Amino acid sequence: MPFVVETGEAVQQLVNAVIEDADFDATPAQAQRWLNTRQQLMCQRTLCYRKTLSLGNTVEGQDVYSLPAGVVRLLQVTVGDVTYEQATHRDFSALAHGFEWLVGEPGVSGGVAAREDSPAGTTQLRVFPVPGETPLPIAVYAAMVSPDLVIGQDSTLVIPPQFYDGLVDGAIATGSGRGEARTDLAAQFEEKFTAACQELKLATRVKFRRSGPTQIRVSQPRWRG
Amino acid sequence: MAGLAKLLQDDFSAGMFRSGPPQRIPANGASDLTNTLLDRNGGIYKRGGSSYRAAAFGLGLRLIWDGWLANGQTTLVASTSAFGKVVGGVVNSLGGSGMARAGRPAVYEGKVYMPGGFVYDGTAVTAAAVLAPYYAVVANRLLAASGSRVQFSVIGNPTKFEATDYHELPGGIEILGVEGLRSSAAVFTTGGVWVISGLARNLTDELGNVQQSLDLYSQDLVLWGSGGIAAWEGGLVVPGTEAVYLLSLGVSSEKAQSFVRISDPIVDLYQEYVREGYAPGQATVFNNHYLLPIVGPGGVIDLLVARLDAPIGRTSARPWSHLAGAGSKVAALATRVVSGFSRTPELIGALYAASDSRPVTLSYLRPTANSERDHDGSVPGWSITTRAYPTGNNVTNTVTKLKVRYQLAGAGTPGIRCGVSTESPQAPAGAATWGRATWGAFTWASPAEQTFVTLVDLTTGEPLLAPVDLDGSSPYSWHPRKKVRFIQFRLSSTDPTSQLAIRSLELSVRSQGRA
Repeated sequence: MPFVVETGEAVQQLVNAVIEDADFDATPAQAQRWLNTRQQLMCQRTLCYRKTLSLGNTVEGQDVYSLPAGVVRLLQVTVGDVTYEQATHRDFSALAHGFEWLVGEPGVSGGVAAREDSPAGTTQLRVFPVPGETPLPIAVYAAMVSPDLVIGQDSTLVIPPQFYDGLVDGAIATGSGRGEARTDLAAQFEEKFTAACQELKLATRVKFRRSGPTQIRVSQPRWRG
Repeated sequence: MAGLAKLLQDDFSAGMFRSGPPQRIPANGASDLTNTLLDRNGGIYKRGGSSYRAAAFGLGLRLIWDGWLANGQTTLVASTSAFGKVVGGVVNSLGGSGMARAGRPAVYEGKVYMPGGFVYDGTAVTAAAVLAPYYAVVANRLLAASGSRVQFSVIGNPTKFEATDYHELPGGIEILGVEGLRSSAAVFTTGGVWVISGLARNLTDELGNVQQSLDLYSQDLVLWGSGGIAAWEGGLVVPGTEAVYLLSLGVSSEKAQSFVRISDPIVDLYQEYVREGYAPGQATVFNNHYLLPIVGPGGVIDLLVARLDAPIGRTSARPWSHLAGAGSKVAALATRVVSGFSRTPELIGALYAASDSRPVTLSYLRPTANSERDHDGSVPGWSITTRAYPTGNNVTNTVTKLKVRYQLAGAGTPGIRCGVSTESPQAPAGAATWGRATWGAFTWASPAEQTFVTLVDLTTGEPLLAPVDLDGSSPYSWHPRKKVRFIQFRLSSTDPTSQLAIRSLELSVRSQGRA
């Protein structure tokens, strides 16, 4: 049965649903934790929770910039209104040594960008070519990890309402398997959760359709004899 | 959720058990039954209330008696300072010194003999020919027992005691009570029970042969208090210091049968009352229910009830419950039969408290819309505490549901709430506290109120209440959601009810995978 969500009580209702639907001997805090884990897993699997992040301006000679925590995947990087192509980690070395070339007008055609990880394990953004003296704004469009659920703050529940049931199924799967060692029951609910994830992934693809190649109508000059 | 195991209890005929850990209680028993009585079908129901019968008399009543004296039906009471006769809505003082504690009056030839020697025939007050703390009537003789001697009157003449007509009990004992058993007398002493048989005959015949005999019946049974003795089916219900016994003679002979111990289910609670120094009030048997008030310093501690006609299985023990609230604070109970064609039996009582020293009518066994409350307007609080149900396999399993089938009605909107024990069902530390309860204040030594958590609505935090159900057709379910090896429930209601009966409890348990 779909949830009738009341403003400000959505998280609480989901917590209650986990405890009541499965009759768990669990505290609300436990149920909230299970839901939290499952929402994060759902968002990571489907890339449904996205944000546009501003990283400030480029700095002359600095090619690495810090990314905020929670970035799952970079979907688009824009530097000074120019979209940078997605590169791989090895591309930067190849570009630096001249094994790969960028084509186009320097300063107009942009460059490439990729995720980088610091020695401390923090997530960073690396761009090429190394920015010049003109500061340009860096914007990143990324799939993010969902925020922690907070009772009374519906904004922390970031998946669409039609997938709340699936989220509850996932939390019940966690509770059944972990709390009661009922792998048989957990498997049933895990299956429902996985199905919900697949559906949400499909819905996300439809909603955020990639630009991709566009058909261009080609017109040819008509020769008259 | 699939795979739920069911556990059903629809029989409570074993009553309340206060003699061991709650997980050892039989499948048809309960841990506690407060203000609860047992019906003939193994079900349980809440008692009815009480109402005043007459105005206050003295500063606390200790005895009540009803019967026919020389000038008709009479209801007598004894306060701590005088005897009184209930006339309409008032109690007329008859003088005398009253009674400090409960006792058993004896009645013969239209006269009632009160412990101490106060005699009343419905009109005049006199004194007994022999003053004694205990009287009984056996084989048309009046027996007067005092110290270690039992004197018996001439047959048919309770005022004449021959100088040699007595039995002196040997062994350095003190008589605690005397009761008639057909043509024998059971004499309760500090050294056990003696039986004087052959009282229908003279002590000796014309040739000097002894015709009466004095036998030591049991050295083990020591009477707790003579007020607690009550007659039932040709025998006596006797509260001893160790247990409550049924004492009876053979069907066709005067030979005493073996004692039947009926208080085993509540033996811990009972013996604790004895150890605490409490004393039994004046007990009675009404509709096969033995009602025994327990009187402590300053008030009535408890009112124990045993259903005598419903032995538990093949044992001799009887099912017990107990009563609390204002309507149970009676130091004495008696049965009154209404004169006229209906002969309706009525249970009457005498309130103990100095501030409320009045006779009352007790409608325990007939809860109706007119007896929802006790005489002071208070509502008797009802609760049952179940046995500790094992959830299975000796591991923690999740109890998902408790479904209760019940009947509930009342003038307002009564409800039943459910509490669940989350503690290990074991006796708490300190043996002296097990089972003790101050019923007036309703504070439990253990199992404690605080170990039971009321089941509430997760969203609102309000207790989940089972609503009115007149015919028991709409069972109510609580969802305890407890992962435990054992679980106990307490169902309770503080609302006025004209009918409250429990038909069955059904638990749903989801077994753990690690069994």
